Amino acid sequence: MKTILNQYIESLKASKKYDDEYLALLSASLANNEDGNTTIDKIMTLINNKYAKSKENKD
Amino acid sequence: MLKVKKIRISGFRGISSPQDIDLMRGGTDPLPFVLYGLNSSGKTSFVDGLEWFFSSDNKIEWLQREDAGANAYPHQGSKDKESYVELEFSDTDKKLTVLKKEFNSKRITQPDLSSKSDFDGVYASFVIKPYLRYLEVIDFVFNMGGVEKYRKLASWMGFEAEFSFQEKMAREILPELKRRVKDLSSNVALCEKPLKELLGQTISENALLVVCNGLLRSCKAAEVSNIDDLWPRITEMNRLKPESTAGMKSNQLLEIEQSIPSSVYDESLSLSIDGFIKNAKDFLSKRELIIHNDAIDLYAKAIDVLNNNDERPAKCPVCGKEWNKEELLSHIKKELESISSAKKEKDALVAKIILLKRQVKAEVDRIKGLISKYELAKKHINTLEYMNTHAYSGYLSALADLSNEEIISKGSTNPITTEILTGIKNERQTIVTSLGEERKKLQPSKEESQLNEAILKLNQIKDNWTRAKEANTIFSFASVEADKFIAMSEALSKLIQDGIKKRFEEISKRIGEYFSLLRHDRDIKQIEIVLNEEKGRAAGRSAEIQLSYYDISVKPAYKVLSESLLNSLGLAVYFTCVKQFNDKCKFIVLDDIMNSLDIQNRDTLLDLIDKEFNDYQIILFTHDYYWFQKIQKRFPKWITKKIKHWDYKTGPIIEYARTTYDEVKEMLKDSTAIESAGIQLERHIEGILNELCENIEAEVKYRYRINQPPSMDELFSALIKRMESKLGKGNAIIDKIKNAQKYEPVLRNFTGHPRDASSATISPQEVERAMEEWFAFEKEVLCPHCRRYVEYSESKDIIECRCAGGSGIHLTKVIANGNPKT
Repeated sequence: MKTILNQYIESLKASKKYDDEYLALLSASLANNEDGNTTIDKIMTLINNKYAKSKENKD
Repeated sequence: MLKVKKIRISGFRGISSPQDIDLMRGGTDPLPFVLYGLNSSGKTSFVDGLEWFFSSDNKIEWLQREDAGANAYPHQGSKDKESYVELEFSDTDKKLTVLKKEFNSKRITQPDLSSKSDFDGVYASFVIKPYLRYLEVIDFVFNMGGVEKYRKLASWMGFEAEFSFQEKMAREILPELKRRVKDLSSNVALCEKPLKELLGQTISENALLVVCNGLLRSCKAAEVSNIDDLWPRITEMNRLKPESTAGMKSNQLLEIEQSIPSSVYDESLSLSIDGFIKNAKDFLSKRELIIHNDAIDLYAKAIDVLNNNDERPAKCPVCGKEWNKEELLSHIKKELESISSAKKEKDALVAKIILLKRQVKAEVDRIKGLISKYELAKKHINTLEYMNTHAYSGYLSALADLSNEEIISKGSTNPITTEILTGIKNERQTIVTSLGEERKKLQPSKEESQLNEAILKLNQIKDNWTRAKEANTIFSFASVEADKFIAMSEALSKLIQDGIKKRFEEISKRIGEYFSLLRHDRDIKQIEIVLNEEKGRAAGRSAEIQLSYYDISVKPAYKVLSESLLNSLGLAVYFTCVKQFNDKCKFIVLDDIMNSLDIQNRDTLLDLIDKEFNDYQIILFTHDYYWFQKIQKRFPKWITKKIKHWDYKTGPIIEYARTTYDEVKEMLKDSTAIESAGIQLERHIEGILNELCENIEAEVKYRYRINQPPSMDELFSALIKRMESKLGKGNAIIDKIKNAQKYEPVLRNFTGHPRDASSATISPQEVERAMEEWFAFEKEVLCPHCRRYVEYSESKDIIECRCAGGSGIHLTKVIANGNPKT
């Protein structure tokens, strides 16, 4: 059944409307059967990294 | 394709010695099966055994509702290795043969399996569990709310992964993501607070320029028109700091003074510690119990062992001491309850410690920062003292370093007294005042003082503005990113919901078809399982049954349907799911499910089985003898058995069930059973006469006031009259029914006058002739194809079998216009 969810994620990826990094994060969350807290921590880390990168680019 | 060849159950529930149900009769294909037994005759024990066998969790769900655990599964008289369920399969893939699940008294929730991989194969063979009980139908349709229904459908239809993903997203990830973004917004407010104090109430570029230009003016510096010019100007101003010793020192003192916050400690912390100490004190009284925390599993196991142990007195499985079993059980249950409750309290207390430690750590950092400022001040004024602040810091640091256990055991009194807190406040006041006085003593020039203050304020504005701006940028960035994530998760949810909706649509059509087979209510149409998508907490994660009732759309269905209609709906949903999703598993165990239907609608369940589940092996258990007989008649190829007797020691005694004809014939061989044979025949004839009269719409006398059903003679007369009116007098079938009617007085003697001596004078030959005449007639009105009795068709004004309609392929028993055809 995870396959169906992965298929959905793949179709979102193909639509190119959504951020690949978040899609990859969800995909990994499914593959590792992560709990909600682990996933949310990873989302926040990703947001922080993205912010740091955007700041670096501005500077 | 998987079917069951043989069931063997031993030492399970009400079954003591091994009981076999052979589902083969010559040939190679396992046959459908029906077992009749009165209530409490051990029939449900077979269903329990099968449910346990097919449950990957090794559970019997309905027993859990009754609060009975795995210890209630084996027969109380059975010993080790005697309690098991064994099934022999017919598997077209030739993978599964004989599988055995054996109860293990030492590990009651984990039975011994003959082969784990084979059992995994069995579990994987079905999506919809292949057994259904009467109560489950009721539960699904009536008692479950939208979310529970959705969960059940998820398990029936195999979308648990999507369901649990939706749950995780909706209940954990998205709310927490929103909460964390909100935290960032609170941080912005926190950073803006000191800026507001510096700029006045409004924070804007304009307000910033107005205030800063005012400060620049006071120092006789040129004003600026935008922020980009302001920051370099402040850097330039720093170079204008007074160069005289007094001016520099005064500047340093002012910087220290202004860096000391007005509120020096977290006022809520002491209250949190007080609250925690109170909880810890309450808990400490149960400290002894927590030492036995590890005994929880041991005690739980001990209860299971004792429940299965018939020895009296019993040995305590923990200490080995002999006890009276009931006393020991009660003692262990009490201990288990106390320890479990103390464990819960401890877990709650530990959760509080985690929060408290977080608060303490933040305060330690804050006080350390304060002390470093005091130390700077002390370099200028060496008489300054701050003992209370140091003590406060020391206590908090020690608290932060303690383990959870140490915090619980040492938490007796709160050392942060009011005196300490007052002392801290006074120390701050004294230091700030001393710094001011010291500045005065230095007597810098008025210009120097003004310049100092302006530069200091400009720097503070710059720092706070930058900090607030940064916090705001982070918040905006995170909000946009969180929105991106939410949009993506919504798109994913939409895909999941569309997939599930598609599956609901697929099954809805079939549910409608099955429901119309079970019920002929034409006012109920368009039955659908719909995803609840309206706004609300469970939107997109709950389902309901919707239908059109008298052309009005109704959701949920139970709002308008009677219990009987709802039960038919539940059955339609279950059978649909089995048909749709169980490709490999071709058997269904049904326990008394007809109970949920009105008596007049029970035939339709047989219609459904006949029409749609011909290739399935139905394994049916019933306590309804009338229905059982119907099955015998309708499905002559099924294996039919009945439970003759049940007692605790032997369990059920099962024998083949014969047709009424065969049973009566057998009885007639025994001179002492003539009366029983007569009674059985009479009941059979009366039952069929009633059904036939109803089918062909014969007028029968009904005595409402004395609540007396029509007599056999009246039924015969009504049937003959109606048949004559439709078929014409002298029809061959009417002759046959008249021949059977001649024996009505013989049969009446058995039931009407049981104590009359005349009944004894009736010979077995007379009963046999009555039987032969009756069955000669019955054969004429029973369709050999669909095994149903003829009916009157109003539209055609003929008497025919229902299956004769349409193509006429089965038109073997149409009786019309006085010309019976075969």
